Amino acid sequence: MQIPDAELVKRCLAGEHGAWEVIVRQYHQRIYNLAYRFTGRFDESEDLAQEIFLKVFRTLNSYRPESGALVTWMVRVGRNHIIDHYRKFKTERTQTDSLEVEYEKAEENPARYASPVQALEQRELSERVHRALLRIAEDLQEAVILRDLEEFTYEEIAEMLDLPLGTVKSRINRGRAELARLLKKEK
Amino acid sequence: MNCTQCESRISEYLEGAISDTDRERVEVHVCSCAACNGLLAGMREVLVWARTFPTFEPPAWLATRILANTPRIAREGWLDTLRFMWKWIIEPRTAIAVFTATLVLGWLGNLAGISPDWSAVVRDPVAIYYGAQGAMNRAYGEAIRTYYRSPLVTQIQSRIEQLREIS
Repeated sequence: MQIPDAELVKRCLAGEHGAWEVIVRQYHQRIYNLAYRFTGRFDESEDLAQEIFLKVFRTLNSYRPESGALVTWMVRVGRNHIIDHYRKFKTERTQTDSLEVEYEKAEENPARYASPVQALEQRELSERVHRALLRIAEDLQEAVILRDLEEFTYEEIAEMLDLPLGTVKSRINRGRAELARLLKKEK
Repeated sequence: MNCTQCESRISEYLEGAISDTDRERVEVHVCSCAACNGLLAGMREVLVWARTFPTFEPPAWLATRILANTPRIAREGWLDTLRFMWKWIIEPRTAIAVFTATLVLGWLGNLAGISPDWSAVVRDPVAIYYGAQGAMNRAYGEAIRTYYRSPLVTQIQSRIEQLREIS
């Protein structure tokens, strides 16, 4: 049986280690993938996931269950952290992991992929999208990631980004259009 | 409907969140405009890519690393605290430090003309070691706990995080 978010957070704030462990094990994949979608790098995503969870732990007392699901709040904390990180290391963040590095990783860690070949195929696809994603404006990029890759509703994104619903819809539409134009140019 | 109006409606069209009238207007425009038709196809492709975008399995050690690096003091129970203190007490470096400190203090006390009750020391020499060790551990543990449980520290940390989020 899944423990409600509010209960989980309450127990965690009371110092129950088990509750924190449930939160970490339940959401670490989600946060790891969120970081990967923003950065396109596995090593960076591992470090970012670690940092995001530390931030979540430190600010857990500011989570209000009545304002939405825990995962939405965590993604908001994560998104803010990733953007801070992005601004700090903007110059370094010009490309995703190279295919060679990725192939080596896939061979070293077969649990992560079904096979190195499949990893390469998946990688090529995600690399193509990422290349285009990294080239569109930051505000459009995060709107598209949150809607199309993270599958949040428009209302959740509006709350997360603290923007009117209309602006969110417009950014998502513009982001998709930009992405479509860039991908078309790449073909 | 012109191209700008059409472009602004494509997402709603693709997600089926558009009225029947507008759907028809978009379709009519797209049939007569090659640019908007291409854009519609491209945006449809973006949605397909997004749906097939892989979800990666994080490395098996990641959750363990996150748990291990979460501030320990905030999540330990009193049994964990005792276990930690015991581990610290039985470490050889602690024994050596206490032994050295005892020798130095004894030597300084001797210089100052303060002499311990040697009969009590002979009767129970270990009591001095454990007494001093226990007092030090209690004081150290209490200081750490007071710091992390202090509402002021928690408030400052939360406020800093909130300000960073806002900025």
